[in-house]
Amino acid sequence: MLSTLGYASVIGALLAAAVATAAGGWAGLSRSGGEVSAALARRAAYFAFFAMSGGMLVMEVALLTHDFSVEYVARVGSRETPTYYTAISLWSSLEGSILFWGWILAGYGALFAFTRRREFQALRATGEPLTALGGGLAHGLRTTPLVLGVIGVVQLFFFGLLAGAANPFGIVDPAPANGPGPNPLLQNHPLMGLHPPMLYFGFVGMTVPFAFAIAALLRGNVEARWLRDARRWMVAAWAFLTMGIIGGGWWSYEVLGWGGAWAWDPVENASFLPWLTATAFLHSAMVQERRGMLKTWNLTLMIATFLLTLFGTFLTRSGVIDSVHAFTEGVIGPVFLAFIAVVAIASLALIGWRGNRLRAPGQVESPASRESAFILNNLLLVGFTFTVLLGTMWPLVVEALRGDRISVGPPYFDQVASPIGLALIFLMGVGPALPWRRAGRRQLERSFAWPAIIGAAAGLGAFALGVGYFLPILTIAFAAFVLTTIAEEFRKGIAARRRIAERSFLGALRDLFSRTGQRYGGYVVHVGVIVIALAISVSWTWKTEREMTLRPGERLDIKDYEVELVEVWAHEEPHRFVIGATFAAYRDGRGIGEEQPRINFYKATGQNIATPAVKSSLTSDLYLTLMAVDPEGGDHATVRAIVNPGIVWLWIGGMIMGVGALIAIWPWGRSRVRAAGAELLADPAAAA
Amino acid sequence: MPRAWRCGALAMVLFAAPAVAQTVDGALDGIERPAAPGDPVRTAEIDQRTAEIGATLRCPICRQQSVAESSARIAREMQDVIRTMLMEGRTAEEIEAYFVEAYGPWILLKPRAEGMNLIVYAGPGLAFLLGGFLVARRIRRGRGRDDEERAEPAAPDHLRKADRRWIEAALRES
Repeated sequence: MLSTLGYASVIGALLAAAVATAAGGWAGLSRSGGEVSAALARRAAYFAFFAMSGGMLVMEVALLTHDFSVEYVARVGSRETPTYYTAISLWSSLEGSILFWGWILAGYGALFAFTRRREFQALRATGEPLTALGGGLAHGLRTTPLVLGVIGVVQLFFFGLLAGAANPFGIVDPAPANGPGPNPLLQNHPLMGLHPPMLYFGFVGMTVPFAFAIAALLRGNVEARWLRDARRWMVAAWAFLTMGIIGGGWWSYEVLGWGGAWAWDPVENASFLPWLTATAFLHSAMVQERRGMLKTWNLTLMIATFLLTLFGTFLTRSGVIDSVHAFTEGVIGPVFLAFIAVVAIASLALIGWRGNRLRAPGQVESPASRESAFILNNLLLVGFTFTVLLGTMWPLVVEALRGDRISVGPPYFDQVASPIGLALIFLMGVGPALPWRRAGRRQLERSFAWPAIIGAAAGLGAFALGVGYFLPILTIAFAAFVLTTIAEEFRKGIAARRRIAERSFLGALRDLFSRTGQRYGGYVVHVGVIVIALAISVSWTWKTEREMTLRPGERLDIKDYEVELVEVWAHEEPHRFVIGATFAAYRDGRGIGEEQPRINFYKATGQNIATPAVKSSLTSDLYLTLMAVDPEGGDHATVRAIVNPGIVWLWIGGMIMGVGALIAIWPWGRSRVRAAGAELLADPAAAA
Repeated sequence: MPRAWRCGALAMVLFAAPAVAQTVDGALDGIERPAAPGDPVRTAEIDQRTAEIGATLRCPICRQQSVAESSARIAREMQDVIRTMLMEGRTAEEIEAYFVEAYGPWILLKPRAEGMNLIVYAGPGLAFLLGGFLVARRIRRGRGRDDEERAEPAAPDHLRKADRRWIEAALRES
């Protein structure tokens, strides 16, 4: 029953996507008419969301009621799994996660249609459509249905997968009485409820800027409003992706037990690649906004970002990453690859066809200008993307060409990423202080004297205080340099607002955010990045590790911590056995509570998962992993203790980045929109 | 001992599956090698170097985790081998060669810079050189055209009549 209902929902969404594609494409590309089909495309976008929500709901009901006649439930469900993990097991396996992906995609389509509802209302309210000279839909009204049409094409692919190769609603007959439950790693920590959805919202969100790019290419036209809107969608998706990546690091830290957050695993790299190109776009878009340059380049970045999200999903979901030979085993692998190829070729052809019409009028006038800084930023970010892609793919290339198996792992990536990362951080301090077009020598001296002095002083100070390593010294110096330029930007901005508008300090700050959120929100993001860079460099350099076997009452001391084994214990839960050890932890001789690292044994799949115990503080974390216990019952336990200095600041930095992105896209009141509209009417040149 | 303990212990021994990164299938075998502080030849320096070498070797049953990081039994045994070899006075190169002999080049998390692998080391550098060249050319070209460019500011995307009317309508509406 549920299977049929769910499958019907998917088919309904598929039909809606087909309608949206056809109607949106017609309204967007035809020379006359198009009013009816534009309205139709909008309705189809809403309906697709409605239908996919139905499908999602059906799957959730099937999961929560343990309806094992539904194939997906039979594979990832079990009666013993706690309800929370049952609910989120929607994204614990391939078909469910594609369903979730499709639902979010439909949501983005509907949300986009909703944000443009005024255009459709204008159509209806005036009775007669706002027509261009040649009749039919006005030029400015054709982009919206076209974007909906392109989103429709992507929806066709994903809903098609759900209806075919990745159908989660297959029927199992006779239905089994119970299932194995989700992959143990995925039901071991509550963060699983947060980190994957964030990533999905980020990945899928890249579809909207992609649709903007394709629509612009098809229409051969990039307007100022188009760019502003495309970038807002990109910032939103980027923010989700950032949270997803950092949340993934946090999950890895809390669950995997090796005491780190990022291992350059192919799956992690797959999420990092589109993040890099999206970040590049967010910067180069500003060059287009101010100087009208880099239009084609920006479109390329938007398309590349979308392709990388598909490629990342392909890499991680097809099994190709473990070995090229696993490729044929995945059903959806070839389908995904074909879609990626079609999108890539079609986009390239479009860029080749329309590139000339988008030719940039402006020029970079001086290496010492903000546009140069942005271009350099793009060079670094895209070079970074290439490097990570090369390292991730290299084992596959070697295996395909020579049949040898090799690894490219953290030591390689750390080595290549450190200089690129440091260069990017340095540029964060340079860019904001450079003016557009060109900077004179005096101006350069004035802007950079203090930041350079403070940066150098911070580096020397760190060295004097006994920091004996190159990487952290450089990071600290650059961080001080960047923070000084950012502080100076805020100081100048706030002073100007206070002078002009006679605002209070906080009022002036609010003005900066509400009027120039892109810029000042961006600076807040930069502060977050600096915090993360410092956390990484400090925790890498001073991470301390010790492993010992203890009997009850014995102590292990590490740095300023001491750990005493209290007892080893075991208990049984419906879905797992748990063996754990209780330790009393002390810091500087003072008790800081009990820690219970454990080993969970999942009955259904026969897997052991070690769950670390983490005691966090702003200065350092105490991280305990249970390595082994006495099989005869609680006489001794082997524990690995890690002291991770400053790692909490990774998560704090991530939150700061999120706040910055929120400032950049916050709808600071409609008055601003009206003001912008009035501005456009009064001065067409302001659109440039 | 409570029932849970016996069941758990038994289950772990019976089903210990080396399937995922965090398998601790050695968990119930007791201690193969307690980190005894009294060990005469084992020094902090040896431990440090063991960890350094371990960080460059892949744990064979894990997903992208090094021998130093993993808690899997095999990784811990490899760690012991490294330590023993170091205490016997072998060099890092000899230890690396030993593991490559046993597992193939796949065991190295950082591939040797030889043969085809040179591409993965030279590739990023070449890409940055090429990109830097293109960027530099573009910026220089811009400087060359400086004067004519400044006379004629970047052409704005002009608003079409229809767009202006649409904005007017939208403003009236709001």
